[in-house]
Amino acid sequence: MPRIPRALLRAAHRISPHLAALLPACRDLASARNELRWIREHVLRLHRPHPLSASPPSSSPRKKRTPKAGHGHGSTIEAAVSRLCRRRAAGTPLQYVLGSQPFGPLDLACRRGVLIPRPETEAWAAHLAAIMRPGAVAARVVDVCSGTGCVALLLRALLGSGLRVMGFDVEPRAVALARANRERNVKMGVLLREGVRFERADVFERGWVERLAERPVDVLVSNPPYISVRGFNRDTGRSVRNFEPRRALVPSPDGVGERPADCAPEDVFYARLLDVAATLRPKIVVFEVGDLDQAVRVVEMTTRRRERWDEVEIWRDWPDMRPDEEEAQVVQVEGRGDVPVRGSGHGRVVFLRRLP
Amino acid sequence: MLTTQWVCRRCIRELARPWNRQFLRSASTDATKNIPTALLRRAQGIAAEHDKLAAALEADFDTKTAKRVGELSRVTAALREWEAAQSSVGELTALLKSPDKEMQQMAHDELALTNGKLETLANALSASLTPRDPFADMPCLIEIRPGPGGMEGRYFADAIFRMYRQYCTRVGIPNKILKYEVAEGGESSGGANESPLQEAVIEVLEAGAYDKFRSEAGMHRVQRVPSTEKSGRTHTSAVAVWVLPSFPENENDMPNETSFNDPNSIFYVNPQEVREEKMRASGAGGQHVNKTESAIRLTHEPTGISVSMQDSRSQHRNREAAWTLLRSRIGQRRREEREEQAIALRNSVLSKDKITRADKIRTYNYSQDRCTDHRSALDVHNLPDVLEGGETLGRIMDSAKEWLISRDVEALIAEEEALAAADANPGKNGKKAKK
Repeated sequence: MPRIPRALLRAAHRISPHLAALLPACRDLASARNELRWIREHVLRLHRPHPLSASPPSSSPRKKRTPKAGHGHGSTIEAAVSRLCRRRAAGTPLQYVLGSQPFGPLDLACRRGVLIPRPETEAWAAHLAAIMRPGAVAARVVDVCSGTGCVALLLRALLGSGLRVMGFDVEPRAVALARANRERNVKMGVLLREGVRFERADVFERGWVERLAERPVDVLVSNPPYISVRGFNRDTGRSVRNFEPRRALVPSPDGVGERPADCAPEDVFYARLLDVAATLRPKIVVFEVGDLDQAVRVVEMTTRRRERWDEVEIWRDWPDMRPDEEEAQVVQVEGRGDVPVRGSGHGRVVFLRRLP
Repeated sequence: MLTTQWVCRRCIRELARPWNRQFLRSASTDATKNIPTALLRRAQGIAAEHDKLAAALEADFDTKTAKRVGELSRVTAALREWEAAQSSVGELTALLKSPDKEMQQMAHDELALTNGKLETLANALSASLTPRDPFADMPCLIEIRPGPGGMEGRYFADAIFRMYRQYCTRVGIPNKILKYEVAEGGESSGGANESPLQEAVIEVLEAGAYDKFRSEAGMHRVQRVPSTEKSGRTHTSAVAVWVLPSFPENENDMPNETSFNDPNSIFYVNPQEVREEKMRASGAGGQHVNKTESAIRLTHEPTGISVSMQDSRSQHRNREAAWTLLRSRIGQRRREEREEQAIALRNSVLSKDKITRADKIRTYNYSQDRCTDHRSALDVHNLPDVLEGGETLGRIMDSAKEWLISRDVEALIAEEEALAAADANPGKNGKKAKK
């Protein structure tokens, strides 16, 4: 990691000491500024309910104000800001420092031990919702490895009352947080309580699929751990490595049953999820993946299993964005031929669909 | 004796003279004078068309005709009312000549009443004739930006921002903040807890908000001693306020059928023409990294209009907000282009009063506790109430709106007269004016 130039640190310090503190964690002035602004807004919201928030609920809580109260109040706020900045400077992800992350229309609580929802996930979940919208009336959706519940809750919020969503996670803390997030957003008025359930389940456990298969499932989505051990040591960000749960990032070799010979260790979840899909026979399957190579491996897995999918697509980070010139819009997959690649960014999602 | 100690000679002479004839005449009962003939002719033309279409509609229903009838009915109704009042004035004048003393008295009283009414009806008629703004029924975006003039303009931009925000809250209009960007990371704060605002956008979500706020667009000038000023000099700086039409969240609420998904709509933006720049994780992205960078920038390539947004921690939200703003800006730009011709014509006749973004429309003078609207020439005091979005601000806004309407009526008269002149001597001139 390149060292931060002293001149930049000095420039930041001149604007605010907090900014200089944040710089090592944020790496550049613009994002340090933004993070400081969010920290400040967060503190002000906690310390003093916004004077205009009594007005209609649509009034956003974004507006920041300097407090009118006396010096004492101001200094407690400054102290709180500097405390949060110190935590952030130590590398803690901003979402853990502030305790939340906005996700589409939702606001999700974030806690240690549960993966923070990523913007890429937000982008594909919203894109999926747009695809599902025409026939979503009474669909049944299963979200495996639900974490904070972000995908399940977003689909539910965007797709209306007929949708039934079930989220499963092996981590009890994640299940508790997902349930808390449902309540939190119901209270904020952006979500209805009915139609979303979260339960603890191990995907690799045999009985679970059979119980689930009792009723038809239309859509299977998952954002499983997909990083290889090497990738974890080499490619992940420092705050991810040190603060986020490894269990949500790297598939552990224990408890995943027998790994097929042709399956890389970081792909075990996809192998298992395709088995699950073979049992549940959903119309749409969406998996988040680490990169284009992994996406291709997953598509190859489906062809090796001789599964018949009418539509197979790979989505990049921003599926509805215009691709750059150097970004291929089609990729060759053995046994399948050309697979369209949508959007712009890294390969991020494998989308499979069976037409009725 | 006169109560004044001293009256100038010229005034005495003026007062001593009998009232001049002209004044007597314009105060007469001839109320047709209240409405220019050009306008009257136009109104009658519209009413005739309305009747014809309404008759056609009875025979055979057609949505397009029905819509047109709906548009025309406003003018027609106003004209009918005015005509009714006019004819009753005629009857009453006839009664004045009746031999019956009592009858005469009654007619006299009645006449005074009807005359008063006639004037308001005439005003309503001319107002109904002015073309309704095509965006009048839409919600709007209010954009606030400091003008040139350093930090002071930025602090005052914050004051303006709060003024509109509080006005909305007081009147009970739902609104939300689309963008609130502070310079220098929001560190310093000037007097009265103002932050140095770089750009703010308020989305006013009520239908018809555009009509309410459109008279607010322009340069707002401030004259005050900034809190940062050491030697107590008054500074003058400016804040630009733009008002753009926006969209209801639910597309079905669209009043003008101007859906932004319809390629014919002036709000339609072809996604192919928009370049999006957003966070591109240099590394692997996804679960690998956890960047909080959520800024997004949209550039509409054909026009070069660009919007950047970094308010929310959610990139998705930033993106939606940026698209809203981009559509509104492009729509406004296209409309300005479309109206350029009409404006050119009006300007050639009126040669002034065009509001552009560059014109100073209002002054807030702190030391005199005064706020002046330069268009309606209204002076109000109690500046704190204005800046809190109180009743006084409402009064200024109303006066500005009235001015806007009266200007439209003037332009309309000018246009009608130009048309009439062209009809009178059809030649080279005529063709020009018709355009």
